[in-house]
Amino acid sequence: MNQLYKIAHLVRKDMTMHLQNKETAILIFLFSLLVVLVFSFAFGPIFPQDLVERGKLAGSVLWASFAFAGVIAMSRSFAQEQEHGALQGILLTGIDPANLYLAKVISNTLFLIVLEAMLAPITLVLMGVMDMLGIMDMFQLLGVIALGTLGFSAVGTILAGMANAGMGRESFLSVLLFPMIFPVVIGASRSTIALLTYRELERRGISNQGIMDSNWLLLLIVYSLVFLAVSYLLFEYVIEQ
Amino acid sequence: MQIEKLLGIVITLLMVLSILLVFSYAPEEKQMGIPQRIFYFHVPAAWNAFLAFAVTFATSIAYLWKRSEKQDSLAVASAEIGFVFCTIVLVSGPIWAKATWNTWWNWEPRLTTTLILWLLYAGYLVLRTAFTDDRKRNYAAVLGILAFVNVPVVYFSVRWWGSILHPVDVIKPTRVEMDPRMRIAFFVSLFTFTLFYIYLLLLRYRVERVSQQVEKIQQQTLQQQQV
Repeated sequence: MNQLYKIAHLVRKDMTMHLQNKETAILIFLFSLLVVLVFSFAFGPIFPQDLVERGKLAGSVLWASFAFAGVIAMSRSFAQEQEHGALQGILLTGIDPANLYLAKVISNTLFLIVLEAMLAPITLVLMGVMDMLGIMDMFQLLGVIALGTLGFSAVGTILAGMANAGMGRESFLSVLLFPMIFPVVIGASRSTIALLTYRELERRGISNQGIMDSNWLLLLIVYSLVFLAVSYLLFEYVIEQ
Repeated sequence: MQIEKLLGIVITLLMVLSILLVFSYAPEEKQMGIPQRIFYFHVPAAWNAFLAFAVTFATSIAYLWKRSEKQDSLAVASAEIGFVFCTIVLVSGPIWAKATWNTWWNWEPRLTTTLILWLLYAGYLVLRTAFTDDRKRNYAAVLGILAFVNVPVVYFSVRWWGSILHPVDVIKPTRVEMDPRMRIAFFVSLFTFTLFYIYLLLLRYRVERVSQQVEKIQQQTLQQQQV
């Protein structure tokens, strides 16, 4: 109970800091928007006329930009703790290091979900696929984003704990993190593509269950659970000084 | 030392023997022809890479548990060797693929998994060089565990991913009865490669231990100079 209370406090602390110091959030948002634009300029200006093809492109671009934004966000997630011995201060409260990890995963996930929820509509509009989503699909998309982001943060947070102390934070973290999160990128982008295209496919008489058609959601859930568990056990070795 | 020298000689002889077996004893595969002979080095190299990363995984756990520097040295030695063998797999694979599938690369699960494995352990080796203090041992051990846990997840996700791209498996692992002579050549080669891995591990381990001792002595002299 006491530990839960501490986790909640840490999450609240991180959220307050994000709200007060908006520079990081704005920076990451602009960066991920620019990634979307880079893709748009590379693929555009005429996107595939075929709606299914366009849906595939949009889903892929969305998760590519989330991945880049995520790395930047992760690399900053322990920045404040490193300054002025704040990490020691937190540990002195008697919190279990593993719970510190959980708190960071929760706050990183929440932060990224808010960011991605703002970025997703813009991307879908720019790629011309916004109309392919119904209201319910949007909620489902939010669910996919939440699951994918949780898996991403589960691995990203523990690796960020290491990369923070190393040289060239961002590039170093990318080298460690990207090979680990390919399953998330695959699973999340496929689910998103399924959401974007299932109506169009049905209209053409190809019956499908959309997002439930394959194992992608299951993959995202299993991935998150496995890495949450393993990282939970290992985190104390990362912050041990 | 003596054992290592002896092992070195034995492996040299066995290597010569397996090359002879592969090129003159084993019959030529009917469909694939000569390029199929890459198989006798490609598969043992892949086996060594997986074995090496499994050893890194096991010694990483052991290090976090017992905190013995020896375990850490074994882990890094094995990871480096595994990385080299993984590179051999990634180079020899496309050559074979070009000859048999007429493409350098396809996103077949085993290929993709090997590529991601290579990237994971490249990251591991970068991590080892990024830190000079004791933290690198902890970090490397944690990464050694995370990376190995990731391998089956990557494998299955890539398999599902590929099965949507191509409804039918491009390459179905068909159980073809191998010619006994092929089998002999293969298993001799596999045995030689495994011994070769052990030999390299022994050497690399010793180098790592020596460099650790040198590091310690350097630090001690630095401290003495400061005093």
